[in-house]
Amino acid sequence: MAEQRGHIHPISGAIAEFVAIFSDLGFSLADGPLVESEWYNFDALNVPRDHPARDAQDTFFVQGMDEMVLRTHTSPVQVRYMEASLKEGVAPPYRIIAPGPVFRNEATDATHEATFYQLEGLAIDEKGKVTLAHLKGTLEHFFSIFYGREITTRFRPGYFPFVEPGVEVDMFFKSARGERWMEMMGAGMVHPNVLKAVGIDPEKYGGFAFGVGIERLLMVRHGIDDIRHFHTGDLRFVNQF
Amino acid sequence: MKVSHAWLQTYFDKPLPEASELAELLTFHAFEIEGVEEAGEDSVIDVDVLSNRSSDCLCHRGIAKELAVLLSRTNEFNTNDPFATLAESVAEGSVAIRIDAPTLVNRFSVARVQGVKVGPSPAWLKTRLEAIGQRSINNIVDATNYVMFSLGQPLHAFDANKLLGDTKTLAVRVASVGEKITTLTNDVYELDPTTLLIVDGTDNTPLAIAGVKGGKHAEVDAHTTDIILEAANFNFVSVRKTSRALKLQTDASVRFQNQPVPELTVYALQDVVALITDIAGGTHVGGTDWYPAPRTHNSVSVTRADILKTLGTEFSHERVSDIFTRFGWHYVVSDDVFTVTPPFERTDIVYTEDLIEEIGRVDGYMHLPSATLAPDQTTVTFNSKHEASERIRRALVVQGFSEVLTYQLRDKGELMLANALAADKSNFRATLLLGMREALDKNAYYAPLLGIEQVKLFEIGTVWRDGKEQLMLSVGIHLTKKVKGKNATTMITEALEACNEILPNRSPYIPHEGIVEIPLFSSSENDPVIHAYTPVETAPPVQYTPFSAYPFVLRDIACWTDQDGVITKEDIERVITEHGGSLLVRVDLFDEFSKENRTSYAYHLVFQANDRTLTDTEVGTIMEDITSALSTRGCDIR
Repeated sequence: MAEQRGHIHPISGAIAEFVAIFSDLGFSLADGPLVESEWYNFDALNVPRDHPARDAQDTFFVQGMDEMVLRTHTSPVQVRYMEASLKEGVAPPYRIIAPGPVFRNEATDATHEATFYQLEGLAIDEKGKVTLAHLKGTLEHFFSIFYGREITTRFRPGYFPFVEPGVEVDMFFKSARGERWMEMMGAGMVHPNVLKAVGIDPEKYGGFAFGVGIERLLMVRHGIDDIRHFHTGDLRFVNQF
Repeated sequence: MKVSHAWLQTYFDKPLPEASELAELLTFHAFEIEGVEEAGEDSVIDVDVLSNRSSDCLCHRGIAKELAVLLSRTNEFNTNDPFATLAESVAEGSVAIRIDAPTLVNRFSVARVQGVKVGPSPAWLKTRLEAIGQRSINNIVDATNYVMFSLGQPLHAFDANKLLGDTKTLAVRVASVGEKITTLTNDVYELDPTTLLIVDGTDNTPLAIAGVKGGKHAEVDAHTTDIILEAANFNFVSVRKTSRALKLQTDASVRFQNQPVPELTVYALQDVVALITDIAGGTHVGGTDWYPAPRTHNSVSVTRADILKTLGTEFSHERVSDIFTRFGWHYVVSDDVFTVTPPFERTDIVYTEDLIEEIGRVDGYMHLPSATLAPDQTTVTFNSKHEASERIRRALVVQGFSEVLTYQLRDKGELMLANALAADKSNFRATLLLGMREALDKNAYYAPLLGIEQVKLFEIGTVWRDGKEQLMLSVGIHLTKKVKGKNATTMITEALEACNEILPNRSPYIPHEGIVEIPLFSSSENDPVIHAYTPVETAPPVQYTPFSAYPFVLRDIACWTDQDGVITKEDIERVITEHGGSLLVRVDLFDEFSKENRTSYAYHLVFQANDRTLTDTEVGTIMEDITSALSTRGCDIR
């Protein structure tokens, strides 16, 4: 048989697409460690100790390393980026995306994995320049390009300790399989306590943040039936992309 | 949380819209709805209350209040609001309280009712409780549950006659090591000093696990005539830890974990005393309230400019006032600053942003426009590691390698988890090699199904090694068919030579048994500065097909074409495909040679079903079908 071309993993492919879409909007690509401190993963993100919201994300703790966890979301990268920027004397505006693996101590099934990938987004500027309306516009722009069709979104009230207002984002998706509203991600306006934690004045600055599951985005686009396929190293999956 | 439509209706004079309409309102302005069900004449809405509203909305009054705001029926609600009036407290006495663990108790309120007749609850009460999935026990217990699900304040009733002493005393203390309690459901728990107990203050007998569950000792039964009602507010961390440690979660513990306000206790007692004296008789003879540190209530401010800068829409003065009025909140306006005093149960309103959220969600996010971020506000810094990784991917893909992502959590590694899901996922991997080996073996098995002769894989992933995270590249080959003069290791070396520019420092890393692992971007290298990313090729949208979990069966077939060229390769393939049917998932030509004007074509055939394991017999039948069809057309089967 003739030499065949190989296939890039759909998650890598998606990340490359995110980078292209968001670079055009002025977003840089940021990264952070997978083994993260509780301060970056929770405290700086306004999730206080012993708060029920901390339970909701069942967390892997590291043995023998005080206060270290496997990051439960990509949100700590927001904190690291803002902190590092200020240290270098760079004030907002900031626009970053941060894709990567996250870890949850939960049972796996067709729609849940202990390890999955998230895409984080953050836009901070002088108050008024980045609003909830800009979040809506940015997400609609992103979805429309990623899904190759005009996408409308709607926001419903949501709660995450690191944003206020917090929203759940649904998108209206039409495909050969039908059309319906689908819950895609959580998002909101960055909570003043998060800005304070990194030394940014929340009276002067504000903006939005979002976090979306990359597998989820792909499962919707391609009708993938089981999230576990992404990490089994199975070419029956990868070679379709 | 299940909420009954009929129960919500008790907070309003005029009929409420149907449950489905209420569900829709809540969905877009407050909380997600899990479902709406009919329960006889009633409807039950399953509300997923957000965790920041679980202190005031895990109850019917909370949801009713939300609906009053959303329906602009606040005045009507206010006339029925249990928080509207607080009766003068009855004279002190009748029950003594002793708090031996004051750091774990915020408030402890009790009331005593004497001369009750314990019996079945009236039909309306049974129906209400059953609609939300609660069992009716007796009129006293049901009344306490009814008030808990109405106001969000857990309550408990003790049989005063089962307490010792002339003065009945309730005390609150921590348990001692090994102390036991038998609960109302006859379960025995062994406790320790992390557990808070309500005890008989006279003889120290445990009466209840504070905030979690009542004990058998002072249980209200058919003979009870004298009851002590307790409504308290316990340290939420303590309740949560106890609930976890004992693996005992109750409607009470869930509420306490979410920090109901201490103001609730006396309203709950007021309501439960009124309900009990109504349905079980008796007289309210006294009570006590231990509340050493009443909370202060702060006001919160917001301006229209704040709202515009956060939401991105202009709100007129009237639009803002209207929303605060619908909430029924006291507010003052001065120099465009609205200062609001939130009601005591809204502990979630602390920051200006909390007010902005109330305004945004009540008005409705459906009114939010889409705005475009201003361009050219930031300078994009290009991530050289990302670009370098992408170049590696492209270089390997061109040579036939496919990318896998394997699990970071494995049985072996240098970083262990304190609370792993399972032994085989207890460590963060120290190498990509093990995952690569497994992936090569698994895919080797499926090679015929995939139509490949070599399995060629790579992974770029993080490991934890030598005390830190490192990004690694692994490349692996498994030959399912021998290649003359080469083995997997030599083939990897060749492939990496072709990527020489992109992986310059790989010489220390030698392939072994067909796999190699190379660290990427270790600190010794200088990250090149890049000024753009290589453009991503836009690929056509992929149509993904779920693949079968069932085993496949392989058969080979080879046949000669004729000399006259009547039967072509295409004919052969068409016949095979037609007669193979849907169970024939793959046809691969693996050999052809010509002799005396005839050509022989040999194919691998792969059979697989989506819903079952195929038997040899089944496949045999299909093969006979194919063979005879080819023979009929004049093919010479080898």
